[in-house]
Amino acid sequence: MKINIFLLLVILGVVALWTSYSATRSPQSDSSPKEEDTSHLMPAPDFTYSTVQGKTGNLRDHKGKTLLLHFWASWCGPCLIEFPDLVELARKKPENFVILAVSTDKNLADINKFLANLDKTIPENFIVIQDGDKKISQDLYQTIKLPETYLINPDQKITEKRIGPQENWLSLDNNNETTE
Amino acid sequence: MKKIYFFILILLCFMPYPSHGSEGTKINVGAWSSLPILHEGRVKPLDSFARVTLKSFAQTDSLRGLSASEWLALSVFDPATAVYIPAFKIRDAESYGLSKTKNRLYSYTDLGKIIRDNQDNIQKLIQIDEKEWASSQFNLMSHYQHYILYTQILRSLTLILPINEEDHNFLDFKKRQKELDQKTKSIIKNKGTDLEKYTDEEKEIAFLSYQINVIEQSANGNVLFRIIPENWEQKQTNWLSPWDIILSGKGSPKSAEYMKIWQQMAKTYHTDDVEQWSQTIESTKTYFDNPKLRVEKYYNMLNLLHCALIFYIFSFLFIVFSNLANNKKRWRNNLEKISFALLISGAILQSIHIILRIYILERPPVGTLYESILFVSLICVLGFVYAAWKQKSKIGILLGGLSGILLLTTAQGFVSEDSMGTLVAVLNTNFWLGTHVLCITIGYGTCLMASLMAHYDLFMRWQHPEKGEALNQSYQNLKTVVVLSLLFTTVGTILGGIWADQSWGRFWGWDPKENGALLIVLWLAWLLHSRVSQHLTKIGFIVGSAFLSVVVVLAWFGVNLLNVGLHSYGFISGVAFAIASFTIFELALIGGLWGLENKKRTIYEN
Amino acid sequence: MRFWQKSRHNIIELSHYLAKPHLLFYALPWLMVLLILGTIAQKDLGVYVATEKYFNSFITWMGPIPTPGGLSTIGLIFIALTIKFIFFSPWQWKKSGTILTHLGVLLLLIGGIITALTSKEGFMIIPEGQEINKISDYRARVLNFYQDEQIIKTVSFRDLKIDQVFEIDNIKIKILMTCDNCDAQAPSGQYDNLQGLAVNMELFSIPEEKNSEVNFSGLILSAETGKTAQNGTYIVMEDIPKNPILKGDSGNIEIKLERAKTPLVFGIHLKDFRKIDYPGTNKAREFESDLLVQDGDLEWPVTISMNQPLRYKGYTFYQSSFDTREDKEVTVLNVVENKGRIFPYISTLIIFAGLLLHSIIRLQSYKDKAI
Repeated sequence: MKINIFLLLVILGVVALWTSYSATRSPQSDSSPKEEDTSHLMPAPDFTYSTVQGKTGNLRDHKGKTLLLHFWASWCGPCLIEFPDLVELARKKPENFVILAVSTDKNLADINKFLANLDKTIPENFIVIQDGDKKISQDLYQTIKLPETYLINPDQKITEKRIGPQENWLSLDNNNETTE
Repeated sequence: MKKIYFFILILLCFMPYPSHGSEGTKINVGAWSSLPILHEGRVKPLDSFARVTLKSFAQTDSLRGLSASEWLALSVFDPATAVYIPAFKIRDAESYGLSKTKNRLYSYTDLGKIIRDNQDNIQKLIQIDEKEWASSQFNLMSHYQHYILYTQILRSLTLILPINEEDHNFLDFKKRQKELDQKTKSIIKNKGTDLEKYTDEEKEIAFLSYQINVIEQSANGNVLFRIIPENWEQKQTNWLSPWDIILSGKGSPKSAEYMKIWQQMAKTYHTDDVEQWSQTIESTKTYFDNPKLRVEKYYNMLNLLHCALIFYIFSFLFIVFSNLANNKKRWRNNLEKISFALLISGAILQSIHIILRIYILERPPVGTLYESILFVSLICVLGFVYAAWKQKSKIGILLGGLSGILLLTTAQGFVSEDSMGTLVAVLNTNFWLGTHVLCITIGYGTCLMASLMAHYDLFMRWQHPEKGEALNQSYQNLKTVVVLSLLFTTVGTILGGIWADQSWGRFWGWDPKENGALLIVLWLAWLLHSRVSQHLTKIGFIVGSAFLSVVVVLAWFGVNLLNVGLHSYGFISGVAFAIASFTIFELALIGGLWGLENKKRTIYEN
Repeated sequence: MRFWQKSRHNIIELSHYLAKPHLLFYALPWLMVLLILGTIAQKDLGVYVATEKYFNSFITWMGPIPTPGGLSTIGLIFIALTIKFIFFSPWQWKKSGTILTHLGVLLLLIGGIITALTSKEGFMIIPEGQEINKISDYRARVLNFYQDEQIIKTVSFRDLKIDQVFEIDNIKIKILMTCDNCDAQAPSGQYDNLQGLAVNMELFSIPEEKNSEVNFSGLILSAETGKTAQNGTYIVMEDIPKNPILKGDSGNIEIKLERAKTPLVFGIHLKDFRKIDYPGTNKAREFESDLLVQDGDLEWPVTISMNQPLRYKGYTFYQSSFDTREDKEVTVLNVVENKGRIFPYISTLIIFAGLLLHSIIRLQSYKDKAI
């Protein structure tokens, strides 16, 4: 009988102590910074292109530079609206930054007509490419609706794909820092 | 008018593809069927997707002459043939004017007829709450859902299936869509809409342009066939269907390559080129090489549960025969040994089955009702195997086989609920599934063991009241199992409370599930205490233990009846009926045995 | 003296009886009946009402017949078990399993009593980017009088009586009607001089919801102030931004009907709420809230999710629900303070050990006999 009362009291005492201790205990923070793993990015497949000026080149030629692979067409309204922003972006970042603007227009004349009407000079790091048979856009990069833009890092890995027209091209460097 | 247009649109989507005419393809879909697909929140092999889908349509996972995977391959690669394959169980087909077939399976075209004839009705039902549908309306809506679902499947790959003789597909023409549209416009401008006036080339251009637009329009919302990961490098990622990739612009160089492989598959499937086909499938290995998917395919294929059930049935038959061969001792011994071996083999097969499930689903095997039945039956069988081995008694073998047969047959009734799916957020915790649920499920298992033993005890006491020693032995065994049941159910129930405390801060909320578990605990505690207080005689204790089956069934299945709305109502009313009949059956059986035993005992004692 | 001896004798007799398992032969089946009825009744009455009727009551009325409720039944078992454990459980190896098990159940019941007496439960609704340092009660409402955003008087809503009169800052307020669950309809004309919201609507009492948390409470009052233009009948309701504001001697007084709130000594700030779905579905795999606990100068981040609560200073915060309000995500935390929560953990261990011991002893004695 005495043992049982004693046992019960001991257990209750331990519980009371534990409960009051846990009420005053200060907590440990459990914040573990979640790091984003960027080591397994998808490589951007290489291709040979010809520019509107008739020059040829490869994607790999631009290794070491941040690339913006942009798909557009002269008949695509939203593309034309953001086009000046992209030209401006290339002009603002002349070093280690290249924009490849791939047009899916069938007729070279349509592209040239649009470029001529654009009241901006095209900088050297803004390369306009014709892809009339959609070998680059559809077959390689699976871009079917326009506009679409791939962001490619200096190691020629794809960091991001942006679907549809963007409003904030000019603030790209701020946003893109984290992905580089 | 609208309906006809609708119909033409559907037909157009399938018409142009060259069809095999019959299922006589030489292609082996074996390796293909372990390619991954995201379905119901889980990446699984196409084989599992095919089985789950076919099971929901046809209530079987293979058709005559076609395995589930073959049926799926036909559906996505050759929809024009697939629409004529009877793959839909329509029990009320005659009420829709279809002629009766032997196995009640009908094709997509038959189903389409039902849907078109009842279009207005369906539109009305969509507006009404599901709970107010009559059972025939419920059936109609489930036909409608199957129709919508299968329509999606049939169109899954329409973007890469060859459209014309030169093997061009939608994507090829998509490149020229702008051009074709412009040409068509100018043709219409020059010649009007009268086809008669067009040249052959103009007809072709107009038709092609129309066709491409129709294919694209009809693919809107086609998101079921999620075979391409949105982000190839992440483990937890969304997956997209080929159409979704194209229409949402979420494609990437890698998905482009992967879709080209599928294009190649479609091509070789149509040309029946076995060698090319297997090469193409082989090349998918650079994209996916997940042993888990292959394991799951074998899991589907082997169906160890059926084997286990067959073993149990034979084990049971052998032990019954051995009893009949009472006079020939050697015969009896051998039959007993064979029976025991069969029981053990069945238990091993069932264990492997459950272990495979753990590996595939990455969680303890007790997440759903169906899974818990499988697990409980294994517990029962293993418990009896242990008893039979330890005490060298054939009662264990007999009851082990019987419990395996009874529970696995019950499980068959719930197999349609089992899609090896995902669990709701609060259940998605391996720790608590592994402790509380496992513990309580073991408790259910031992309770059912006790109940079976008590049934057998009553039977023996009626048949052989003179075997005092053996009867006392089995009574003691029963009591031990009852104590063990109390152990597992009590600890399991309290652990459940602790889980609730961890999740909601409420140890006990008188929730139906908790109450059900408590009911079993109270019943067991009552049995044991009343035996100590001499309120219950030995016989009373045995009868009370026999009724554990009813208590467990009420706590286990019955509480699900209180949450109506989670399941389809056909299922729920079925369960209610089954529980009621089971209770009445047990009342009659146990009451009958008790009465007979009583009579015999009074005679014997006098 | 003889009376004393006799009653002492009776008590001993009674405790002897209670310590025997006889009581359980009747108490347990009755508990099972209550359990089944109470579970089935939840479908019609709602969890709260059914629980109160069958389990949290001393007397359960079955139609016109009073029967022992859950509390009296479990209470009786508890008394019997205590007597049994303390006075009639001499330690013997053979009985040790049973005694341990009884101790475990006893502790479970003690924990239940402590929980019932001390536990407090409430909730916190925190919008993203905000900090909250008060716990709202699920059921209790209070009538608050604010002056310059400071509460100057609080009255429990439940204690309000019809025709009760308050005087605050020289404003005379008389309660005309209250409703635990209200419905608003066009004025019937039974009140005069309608003011504020009362011009357009009047409150009527409707049956309480099954889940009393979602009741919508309100009241009608009449006010007399120094400004006669403000005199008249007002209505006050929960969760309504437009409350009566009356002019008192020392300033404006606003009357609000709110959930009773308990202040915390620390604050909780919601940084981010996430609902993570299974890929390709709308089915939630996990709910998570990134919180910042702010206690005095200390501040630290905590992430809570389903099955992963935050425990601090005797309170436990659970992820219970979420909502989207005005394009902002809002997390709903269930907050519990329970001094008895450790008991189930101990008792499950003891019961497990006890029953295991009991089984082993059974098997052993059995083997001995067999040999």
